[in-house]
Amino acid sequence: MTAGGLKLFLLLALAAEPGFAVDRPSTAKTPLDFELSNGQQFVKLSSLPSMPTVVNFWRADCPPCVREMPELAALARNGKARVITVALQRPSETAAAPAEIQAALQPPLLSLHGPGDPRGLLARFGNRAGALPHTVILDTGRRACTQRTGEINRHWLAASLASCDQP
Amino acid sequence: MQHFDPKPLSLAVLLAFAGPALADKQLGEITVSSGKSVGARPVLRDEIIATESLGARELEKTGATMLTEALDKRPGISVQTECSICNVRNVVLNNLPGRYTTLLIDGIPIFSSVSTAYGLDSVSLGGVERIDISRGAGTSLIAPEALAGSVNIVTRRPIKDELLINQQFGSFGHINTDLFGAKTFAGGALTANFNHNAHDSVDADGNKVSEYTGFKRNLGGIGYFIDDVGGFSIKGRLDIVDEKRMGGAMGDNYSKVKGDETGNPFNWSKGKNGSPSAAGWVAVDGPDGIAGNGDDGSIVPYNDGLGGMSEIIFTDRQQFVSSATRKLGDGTLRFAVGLARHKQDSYYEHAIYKAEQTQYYLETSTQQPLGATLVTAGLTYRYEDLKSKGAMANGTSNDGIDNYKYRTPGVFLQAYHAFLDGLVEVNGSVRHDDHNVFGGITSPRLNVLWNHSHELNSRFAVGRGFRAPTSFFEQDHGILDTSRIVREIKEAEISDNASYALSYAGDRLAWVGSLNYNRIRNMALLDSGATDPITGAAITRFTSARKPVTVIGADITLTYKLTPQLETTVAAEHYKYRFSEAGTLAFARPETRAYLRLDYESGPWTGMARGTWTGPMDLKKFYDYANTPRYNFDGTPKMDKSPSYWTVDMRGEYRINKQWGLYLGVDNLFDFKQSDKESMLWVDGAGNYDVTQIWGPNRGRFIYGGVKFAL
Repeated sequence: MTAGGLKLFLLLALAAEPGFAVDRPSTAKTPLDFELSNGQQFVKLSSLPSMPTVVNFWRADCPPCVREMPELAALARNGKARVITVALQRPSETAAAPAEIQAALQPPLLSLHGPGDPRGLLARFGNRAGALPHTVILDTGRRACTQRTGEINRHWLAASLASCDQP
Repeated sequence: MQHFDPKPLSLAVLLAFAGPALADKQLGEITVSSGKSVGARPVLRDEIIATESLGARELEKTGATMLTEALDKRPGISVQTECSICNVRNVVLNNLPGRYTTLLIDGIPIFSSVSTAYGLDSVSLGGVERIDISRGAGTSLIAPEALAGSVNIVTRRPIKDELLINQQFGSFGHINTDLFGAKTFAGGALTANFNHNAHDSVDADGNKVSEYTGFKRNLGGIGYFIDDVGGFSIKGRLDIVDEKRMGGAMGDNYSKVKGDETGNPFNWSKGKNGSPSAAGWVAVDGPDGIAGNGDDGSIVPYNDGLGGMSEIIFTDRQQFVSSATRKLGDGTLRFAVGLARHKQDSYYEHAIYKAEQTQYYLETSTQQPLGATLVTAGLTYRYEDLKSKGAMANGTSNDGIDNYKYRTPGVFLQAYHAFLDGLVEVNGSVRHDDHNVFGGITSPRLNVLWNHSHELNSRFAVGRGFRAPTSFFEQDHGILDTSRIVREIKEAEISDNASYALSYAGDRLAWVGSLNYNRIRNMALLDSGATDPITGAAITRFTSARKPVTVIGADITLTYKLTPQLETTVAAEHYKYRFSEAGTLAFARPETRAYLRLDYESGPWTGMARGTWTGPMDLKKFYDYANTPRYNFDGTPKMDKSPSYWTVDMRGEYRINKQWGLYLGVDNLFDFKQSDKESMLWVDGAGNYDVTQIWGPNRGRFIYGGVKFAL
């Protein structure tokens, strides 16, 4: 990203006014769920064992999405939280992604694909604007602790998971 | 950037500010999701409010090699062929006439009249990110003439170096070559694309007159994306089109056909309800058109050679579009420019028509927050100039019969506000244009989006659009055997539109149902049968309908993921047409269509199968049999109502590895074509022929296959 682009981004983001469409905070209190495909079967979030979960929405043609993927893979291998990536693209587009992305998408990370029209799914996970990347941290009750639209890093992941552990 | 954490609220504003140029795909470090293929996703902040969107992947899955193929066979969207020998094709939204659909490239309108007639087949799909379709008048703030809606082609900003090659071969001598290359650099990217597409003419009924027009087309383009020039993010593209097409006579020997002006090279006895004589056809009322005077049922011999039944169109087009967007205050500033030069050198059954069309489009706009309201304001200037030269079939010059020059400065204002914590979003806008011929015209619109839940929402829209009729080309591309055109149009065409859509987007199930109402006043009409009261020469009146035309429709689309690999889509549409003047809705259209589609994807395999059912069409009404009875070549009346029919298309693809892929497809699997039931050619009582009895497919089974390479 260029410096000018970064300034534009920051300034526009800081210009938020409460009159524009926002995502209602109810998502933070309601257990979240989805039923998405892993290519072989449908996976329901609510049917998975209870544990802190990181849900990341991405596309292969989104540079920050691709950049943060190794961090998510490292977190999944660490085992402290379940990591689920939801690709908002066709499986063949995921398959065509670079080798390092393919490597990052291996278990224990759970790689899923979103629906053709992801509007409802994204809104449910606090992202009505539909921007990527988008990451949501869920507590053991599948309630959203925190979320972020934009690139994440290991510090944010660690801090967010730590805050999720707080009673 | 690493530590920045924009809130959803901030993002909403950010995206709102982004405008079409930035929000297409990538905005700094945030990518805007556009991964959807079914259903509506209203974004009321935009200048163009899409009701449907087709991603690049969806375009690929249908096997489309040109825009008109990509858009066809979708609820509320179809492609209508309006000439059996030149195959002029229109994109039809809500079953309204194709001239009411405006095509935009990256939000810039740069097609009109002559270029719309044959130009839509020549729109490159190379480097396209997605195609946004906006059904309904007023869905585009910057294209008020889009009385039925607009089709916006959004180009893709590459993020890595690319080379894509697609080589396809098919039935009827079809060859399609697509090349796309992209080179990225720090702060930008360059793209280049080339397409060669060729197809032989097709004569299914054996009379030696084609139903599917042969063509050879070469398209080339370059694009650029520069992220930061003095704070501006700039994108643009230059496209060049060279196309030759010929229908009627078979083959591609254009000069031979033009020079062949006598004799009968055709066989009029072939095909459904063919003539009893190969040399001509039956004139029910006799060649004088008067029944009962002794010559009824006589054969009218054909003696005009290959050229008398052929249309040959050479197209030469250059277009350039570019936009620049930067931050201004708390919002954005956008400039856009479009230039197009379109030349047509054509031959219509001995008549000559050569046209040169020039279009400019300039826009400056800004989007700014005013308190809690997002306001967009802008100025546009549109220039359109058509100059033509021609000659009637008898050689009489009719230069400049449809010349026109339109200058239209306009101003627009839009306000967007979200109420009740984002539950309800409202977008109201108005634009005023000062047309140099039709004067000042104001077109307002209102959109309301109600988010019932995350998955379910309602959208209500009302809008008005206006359109200045251009030349006869937009309605009847080839009636050139006239000495002059008398323009009697005093008022622009005005459309009032209202629509409601309820859509649901779940994880496995998605559906959208919509209702739309369209009422068009002052619809432009052509009367090509008039004569000059003084000289007695054939003239054409270009006038306006006295009564409004109303088209009311409903459609529903339901998509369900049956298994992780298999998705099904079921859709249907139903329309009612209220019109009383012949020529307003000049081509037949069905009341009902139904769609069934299966999409399969597993590992390296991808498959698509779709069936499209088209209901009967009231040919008697649309083709005005009451005033102009239509007959087959054997003298029997044409069908009052067309039969319903299915067409089935299938396509499968196998990806060998990341670089190589193979595909095979078939369109119209069961080989249904109109010519098996009824010829597209017809004659009136006096035996004068025409080429516009059209209601069904003009090409039978089409098999194609190819290889793709990506680097």
